[in-house]
Amino acid sequence: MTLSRKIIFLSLFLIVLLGGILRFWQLGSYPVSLSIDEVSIGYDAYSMLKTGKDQWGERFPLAFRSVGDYKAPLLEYISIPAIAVFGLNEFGTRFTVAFLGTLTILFAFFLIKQIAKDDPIALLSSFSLAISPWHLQVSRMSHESAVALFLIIVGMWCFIKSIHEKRNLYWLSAIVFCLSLYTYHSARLFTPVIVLGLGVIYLKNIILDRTKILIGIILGFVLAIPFLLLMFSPQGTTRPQSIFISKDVEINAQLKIDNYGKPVLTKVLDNNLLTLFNFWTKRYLNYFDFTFIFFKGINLSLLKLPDVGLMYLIELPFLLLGIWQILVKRRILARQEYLLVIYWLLVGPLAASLANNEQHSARNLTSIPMWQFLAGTGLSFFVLKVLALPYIKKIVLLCVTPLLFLVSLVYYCDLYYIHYPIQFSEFWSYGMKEATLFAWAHQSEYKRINIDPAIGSQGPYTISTPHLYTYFYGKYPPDLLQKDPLHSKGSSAVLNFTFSPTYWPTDRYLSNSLFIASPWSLPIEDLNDANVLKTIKFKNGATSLIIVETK
Amino acid sequence: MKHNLNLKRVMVITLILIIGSVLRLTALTEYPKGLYPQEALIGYRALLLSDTGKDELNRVRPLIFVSSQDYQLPVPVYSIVPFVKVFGLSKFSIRLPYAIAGILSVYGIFLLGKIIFKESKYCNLSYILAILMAINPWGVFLSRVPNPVSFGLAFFIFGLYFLLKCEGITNISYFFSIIILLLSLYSDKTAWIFIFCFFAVLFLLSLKSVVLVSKKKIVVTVFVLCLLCLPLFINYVWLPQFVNSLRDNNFSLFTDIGIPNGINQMRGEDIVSGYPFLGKIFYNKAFWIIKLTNNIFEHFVPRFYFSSGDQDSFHGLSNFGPLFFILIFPGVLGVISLIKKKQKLALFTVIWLFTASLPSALMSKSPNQVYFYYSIPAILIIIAYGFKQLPNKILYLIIPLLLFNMVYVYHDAINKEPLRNPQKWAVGFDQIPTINQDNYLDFDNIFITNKYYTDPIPLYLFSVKYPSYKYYQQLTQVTVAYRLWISNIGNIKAGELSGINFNASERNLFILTPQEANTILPAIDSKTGEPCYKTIRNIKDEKDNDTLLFITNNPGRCNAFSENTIKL
Repeated sequence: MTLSRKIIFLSLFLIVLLGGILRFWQLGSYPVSLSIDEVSIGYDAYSMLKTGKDQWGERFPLAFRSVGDYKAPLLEYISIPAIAVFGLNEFGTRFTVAFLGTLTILFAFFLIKQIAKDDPIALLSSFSLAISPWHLQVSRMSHESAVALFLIIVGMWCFIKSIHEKRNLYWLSAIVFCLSLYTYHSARLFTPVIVLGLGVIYLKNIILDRTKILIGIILGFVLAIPFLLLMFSPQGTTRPQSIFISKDVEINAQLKIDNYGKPVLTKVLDNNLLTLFNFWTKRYLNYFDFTFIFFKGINLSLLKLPDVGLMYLIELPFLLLGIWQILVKRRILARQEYLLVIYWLLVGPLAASLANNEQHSARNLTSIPMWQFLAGTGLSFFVLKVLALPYIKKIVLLCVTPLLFLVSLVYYCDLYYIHYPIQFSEFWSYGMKEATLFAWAHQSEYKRINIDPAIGSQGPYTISTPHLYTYFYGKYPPDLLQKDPLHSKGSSAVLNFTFSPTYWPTDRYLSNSLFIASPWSLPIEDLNDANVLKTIKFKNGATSLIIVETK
Repeated sequence: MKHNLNLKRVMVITLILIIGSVLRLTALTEYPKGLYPQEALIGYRALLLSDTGKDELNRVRPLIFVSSQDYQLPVPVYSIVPFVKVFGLSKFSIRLPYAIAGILSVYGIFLLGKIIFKESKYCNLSYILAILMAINPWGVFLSRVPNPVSFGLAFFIFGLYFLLKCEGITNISYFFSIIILLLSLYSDKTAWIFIFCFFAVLFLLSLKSVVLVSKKKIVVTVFVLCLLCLPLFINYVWLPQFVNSLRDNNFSLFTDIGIPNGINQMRGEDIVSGYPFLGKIFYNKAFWIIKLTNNIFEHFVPRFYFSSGDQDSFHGLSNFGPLFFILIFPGVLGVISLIKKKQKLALFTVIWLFTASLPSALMSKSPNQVYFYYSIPAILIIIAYGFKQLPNKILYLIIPLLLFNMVYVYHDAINKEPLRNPQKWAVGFDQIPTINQDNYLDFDNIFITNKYYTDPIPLYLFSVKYPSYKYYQQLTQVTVAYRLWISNIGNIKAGELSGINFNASERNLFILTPQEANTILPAIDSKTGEPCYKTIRNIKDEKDNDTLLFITNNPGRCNAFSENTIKL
């Protein structure tokens, strides 16, 4: 079906607008609190803006030390303009990702148009992405995966456009692909693998365009040098090593097979590599689990109820139709694009499956374009069939289908805006903002202000980073932090703030102090002689933090 | 020439049956290691039936039996009796009929394949089906344990074969099909749900081009089966708490309290947030349908088949899926090719898979590899078809990989699987009866906890081959009850320590877990200050941790333990 340019433009505009609204609506308030990673990213960006150094005093680092996990750097850098414009707050911190998330919808349209050569498919795929719970979830928080996805989509689009339209955008593709290496750990594996796949699938075209591509390769190689150097340094290897699949508790104990002196057959059949491979197959296949995709992928509720998956349940028939059209009937796509789609679907979860989580939607985000493409294709096929139906049936189906999408979207919003904050607020360090703002407001009144890192309503097992929340909400000058000799040695204390576990039996005797801790550290029955100034609740009504002062 | 070809085919299927038999019969008593309490119960019951014609509740040849889990159907139980009669009471004699049922399934699936793939270009597929059935770990495992589903499936396959083979309803094949399907229904409760749903869906979707079953034939078959099952069903509904039996063991999804609680909480949160309307729309009884859909979906994920299964060591190998991982390639190709080229057959397999998933999907813990076992022929049809589509080059690559995969899985099954869940399989229980037998007369009471080995009395009866006349002399429980535990025999009692009263003046031997032992060991005699209990023996697991402690009390003075010290 051919659509006029006006209709395409208008439809695309409306889809991007819808995606933008879903991504920006109450961005500062939902999720209910900045996560530990978000405050770290926000404060590092603020620090870079003010001093050109991160919070640890490192000038233009390639890996942000943060809380010791050495984050990939790009998000921190590209967050600087938004922080400069909107200030160091929730909206400023999340703006960049939400903006790039919205742009992703646009570039997904361009990419799928290049792959499928079909406007309705591209439009409906980008519509599917615009309302996708999977993408919305990561676009509404400062999460690197959304940025990496944006770059990968742009890189793919530039590459395929160059192939199809004989344009020289290889250099841009190389730059963008390389940037994705500096964005998210999953992309560090996915990007080289997908680029390798592109090289094999489009080998003939590459040979024809070799001079143009050579520039891209050289450019890419030069840009990747710092990354390669980083990956051989402790800063580059800390995070991948700590989350590698072999560290998973389920398998770790089994990976201590010592076959020394055992028969060859035992060595062949019972070794660490084979054990790990067998375990990895479970993890990899987890990402093709329909219950994960349609019922529980996003996990917005703690209850034993069907949740929201990576895609809406209403998209299931369209996904199957898309698979039927593309993979079974092999319609729509040319051979190279067909191979690309299959390859992308297969390697999409590769990085996620090599990490120590059973199923991780954000690490698997690199798969999303292909799933939405399949759903979009099915939807397009369905619409074409419906349009050919008699008038009444056509009208009924054209009303019912959008209605079902609307119901699905409202269901997601109900979960996301109402139930998710209530049931998950404590996993977002909810209460830290209120506590640190209170502490800053009374900072000069006390000799010592101590904030306990342990929070949680079920037990003091959830550890937060109160020092980062304190720096963030107090907009503590980064230059002072960097100059603090104790800070460079790992201390997080500033001014009269300390961030250590509270031990009330002894701490109660410290005079003129303010303590902020969970009820596990400050049992309410032991607070008779202390002045409880404030009790901060989680969204579910359980006590998050108690603020007490000693005289 | 034709004679040679036939001979060749006979040799191939014979070879496949030999492979299937070797995998099912070799070291049958050794793997699975240990003895499952239900296995012990049906074994001991078979001994009673063979000796006296009565079951453990002193009923003469009943139609339905009781156990600590659920009521048990007659065919698997009575099938064991002749084997126990011939070979005596042993693990081998209990497991052998199930292994034979497994071997017969291999041949049955071969025959079924010949009917389904009747076109000459697909004639080899029945051999592929048979070899896949012969070697796959799901079939092999469930043929080596006394699970009624092995009988149910074997009978269903043959019943379906005869049903598809015959034309009309007035010939011998049809008679066979009815009898054999009936045996399936008399074997396994899962078959009640599966077989009737299977025929119902087959009736609704006419698939004459794949299966030569007319709607009339389906209606007659279902009617006759229902009629002939009436004695079973009537017997069943007369049993105490039969509704609970069905609800707990076949429809536990609807007893899952988590769902109504969740619905109430979500509604409450919507009310508090000011959107009660949303709560009413989204959180209501329709959630049961979504949960059921979710459960059905759980059966159609590659991870379940090729990698992890349901992770229950009673249902299969806990480190692997029910099928070899390498079969994922012909599996995926089979799905695509079937949909593309043989849509009617694809629909037939989908019906089969869907209806086979229902017994498992209706449970709160889903998928269940045992309840889903009736799907295996459909899954193997898909994989076999995928094999047929593979180019020769790929086939030459896949076959060695499949062999390696097979060796890897069975190597793990032999060497590592027995170490994974020794407690569930009651590995080490044989030490208890040995010690008890030697000291039986020295104690007034012997108490065995059920905290480590669940249901220890049947294990004990089986292990010591407790004489049937003595059993009936000491029988106290004769009332049929749902989930009936045999809690005592002679002076041996079993259960929870807190639930049983002991006379301190009697000589008691307690066989307890270390955690339970901690509750009685600190007891001190108030006059002498001596401890009242003493640990005299322990059983250790392979990691050298204490699993069970043998503890005696002192009926007289707490400081003299010598009079009832255990013989070592």
